[in-house]
Amino acid sequence: MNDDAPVRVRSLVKRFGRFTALDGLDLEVAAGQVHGFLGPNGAGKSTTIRVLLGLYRPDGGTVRVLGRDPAHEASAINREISYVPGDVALWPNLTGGQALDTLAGLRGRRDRAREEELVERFELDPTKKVRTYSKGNRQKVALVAALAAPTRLLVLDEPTSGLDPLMERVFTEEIARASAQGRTVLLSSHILAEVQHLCSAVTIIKQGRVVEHGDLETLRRLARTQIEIRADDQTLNRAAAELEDRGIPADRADDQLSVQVESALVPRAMEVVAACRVTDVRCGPASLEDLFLRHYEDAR
Amino acid sequence: MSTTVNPTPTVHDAAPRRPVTRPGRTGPLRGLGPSVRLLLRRLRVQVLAWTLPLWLLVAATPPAYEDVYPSLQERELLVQSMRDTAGTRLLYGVLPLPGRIGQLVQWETGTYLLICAALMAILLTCRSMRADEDDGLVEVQRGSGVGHLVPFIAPVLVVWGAVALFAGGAGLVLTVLTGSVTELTVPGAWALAGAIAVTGWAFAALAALACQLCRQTGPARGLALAALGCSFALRVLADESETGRLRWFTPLAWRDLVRPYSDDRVWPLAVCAGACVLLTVVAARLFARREYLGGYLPDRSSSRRRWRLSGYPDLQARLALRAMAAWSVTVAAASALFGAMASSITELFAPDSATSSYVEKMASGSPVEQFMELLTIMTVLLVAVAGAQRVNALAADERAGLVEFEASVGGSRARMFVAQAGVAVVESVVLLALSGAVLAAMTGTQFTDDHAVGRAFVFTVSQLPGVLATIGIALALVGLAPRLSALVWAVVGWSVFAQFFGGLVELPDWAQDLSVLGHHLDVVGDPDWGPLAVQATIGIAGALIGLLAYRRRDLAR
Repeated sequence: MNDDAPVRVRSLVKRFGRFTALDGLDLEVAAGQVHGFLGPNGAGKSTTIRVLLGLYRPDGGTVRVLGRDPAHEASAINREISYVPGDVALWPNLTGGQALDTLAGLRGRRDRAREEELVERFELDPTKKVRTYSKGNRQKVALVAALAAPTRLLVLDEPTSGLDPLMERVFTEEIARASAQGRTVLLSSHILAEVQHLCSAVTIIKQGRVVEHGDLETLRRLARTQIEIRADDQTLNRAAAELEDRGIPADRADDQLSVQVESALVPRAMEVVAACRVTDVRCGPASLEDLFLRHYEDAR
Repeated sequence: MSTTVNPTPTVHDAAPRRPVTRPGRTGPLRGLGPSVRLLLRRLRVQVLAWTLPLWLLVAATPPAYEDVYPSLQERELLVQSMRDTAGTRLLYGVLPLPGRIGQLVQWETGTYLLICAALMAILLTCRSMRADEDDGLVEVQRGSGVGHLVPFIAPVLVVWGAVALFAGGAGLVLTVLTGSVTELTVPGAWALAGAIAVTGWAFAALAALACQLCRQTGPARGLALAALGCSFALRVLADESETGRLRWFTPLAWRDLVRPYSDDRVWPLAVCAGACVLLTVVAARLFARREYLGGYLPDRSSSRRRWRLSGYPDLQARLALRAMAAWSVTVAAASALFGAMASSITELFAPDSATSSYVEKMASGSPVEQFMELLTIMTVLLVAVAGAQRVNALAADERAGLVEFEASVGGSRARMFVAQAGVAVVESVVLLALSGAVLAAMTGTQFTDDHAVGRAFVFTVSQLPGVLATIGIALALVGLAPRLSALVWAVVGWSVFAQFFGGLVELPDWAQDLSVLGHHLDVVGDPDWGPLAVQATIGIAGALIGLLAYRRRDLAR
């Protein structure tokens, strides 16, 4: 294992009563990496993150964050970490600005200019009461505080779930900027496309265990393109047969045909589509759910 | 029909599941039934926690009165002095003549029942009506097609039902006791039950009104509790006024219009119940016109000025400021009211009289000592409640996810725990000093004999170890098991019972002493440090246990 890695988790076990949330989980995030932490709902992503922050006590395994044990030195570690929770809770009576002041005051360090820049970029109105904020706006407060804080490690737990597409783009740019400055990012998500877009490495977990981990190449290998076509019965039958001939299995529903192919096979599949003169074609990245359906149904 | 065989009879023969609400039914009350059932399910434990101990209190006091004062003659002096005593008049109102056991019960125990019914009604109404709206539960409810009046009507029905259960149970207990305590009557039992019910309903209605006026649960609860405080003060005024007409305007005096065990009048009950319905209708109209999450009073919850924060204790101090100001006003007002009553002490508690023997059941020593001890227990109770509430805010913040966020920016658990404990202790010290100073100053304007002024101050502030013990127990609970943090109220409740009723129901001495309230130093004689040392030790031990546990456990959400 790499001793310099900001996050090193080995055989982590966490139980809640009889329920085992994490069952021998391994996770390593190298310095400067933007690391995707993927898994379906309830896979144990937030539990892992809470162990990293020292909020939960592990029942087994070793955990090192920035070279220290969060079970004993959470306070010192967390000063170096920026965390954005999945469901941001803030003091309802304060304004967004006062919440930022509070978070900076608690941390004891602050980059005021950077914070103001981020408030502008995320189009946050800091004079409004937290109580009146939507989920997305509460998330923006947490994101501004996290990105502006002078820290080495960013831990983000599904940070874009409340953001609109425009703000998601700002988020993407800011993560790229943080990475360029040498900061390490652990990004938990259940959206494969987001991770593919941002991350250079990935760990995929299910039911508290790692089912896949690797670098950009792994991500690329995992990535699939979903192609859906609609046409009359005869055309669909013909397309299905030709796809089969080229080694691409197709799913046939009533009036549509769908296939999932790795990127290298996309041109071959599109040839068939073009040859059959299909006009109603949809093409896009396959979701994490599809990936799990395809790959990891029997991971346990 | 032919007898065909069904291959899977168990599944297919089962009747189709009935939908929870009948399809097609619309209107402002759609889904009322399921909403009421859901609320009942959520609040049942709280309702039982309020009612069961109080039913036990109702069951225990009449036999105790009969034991101590078996006949009316033996009670004569006591009754007369209780009627004249400023302190008891202040707390319980005017004791009716001739002072039968029922009259004593409705006067003393009845007062506690009225206040507890009011508190229960206020807290449950604010929880189920306004906090649910703040938490987004009303949104979920309305989003699933529930009629627009249901988020108002369901809490009203459930709280009115809880109050009726509480009052009905008390009436039933007193009816059963007519078998063993001969002076009790069945109409008296139900007249008292009726008085408790209308009082509880009135405060449920007032709380419902406060929930429409304010924009959040906290201020709404504060406003409703302030109404309870004003109602108490108005009752005292009504008792001292010639005509007593003021009684109609304060629910806490409605009992004295019904006159349980004296006249058992039914018509005031009907009038008061009508007033409760009227208040509720007004609140309902305000609710119907109000915007979701809105309110009629302007929002002054805090300034919008930006902060320069120096750390976690600073944050807690800022967040505590508003509650602390409210507590200061409450404690100062109560102390001033009690101090103003000190003038009549000299006429009372003649040594060796029936009065002093009665009061000795609750307090001991000279008249001044007895008076001050009784009243400082009430004022220090307020401080203990403030302290416990401050500590329990740590558990509430944890449930809300705030502690998680505070820890994630580098707040150490130990520092957060100690800061919260520190704020609670500082708040208690300030409140005790304020209460002692106001009580002493007000007493000083009326009466200075027998170290009255010094005792007013010392009796109050020397109960600090008791308040520390309360805080320590609350800290231990928050550290060990935040879900059980409400258990600290059982400790406070027991202490009140042991101090006010312990003597009457003849609890053993050790059980009476088992109290966070009422242990204090005196300005004359040898100080008895023993109980204070025990309380301080409990406080420190509780804080340490809590701190150790808090550092080791998962910070849940």
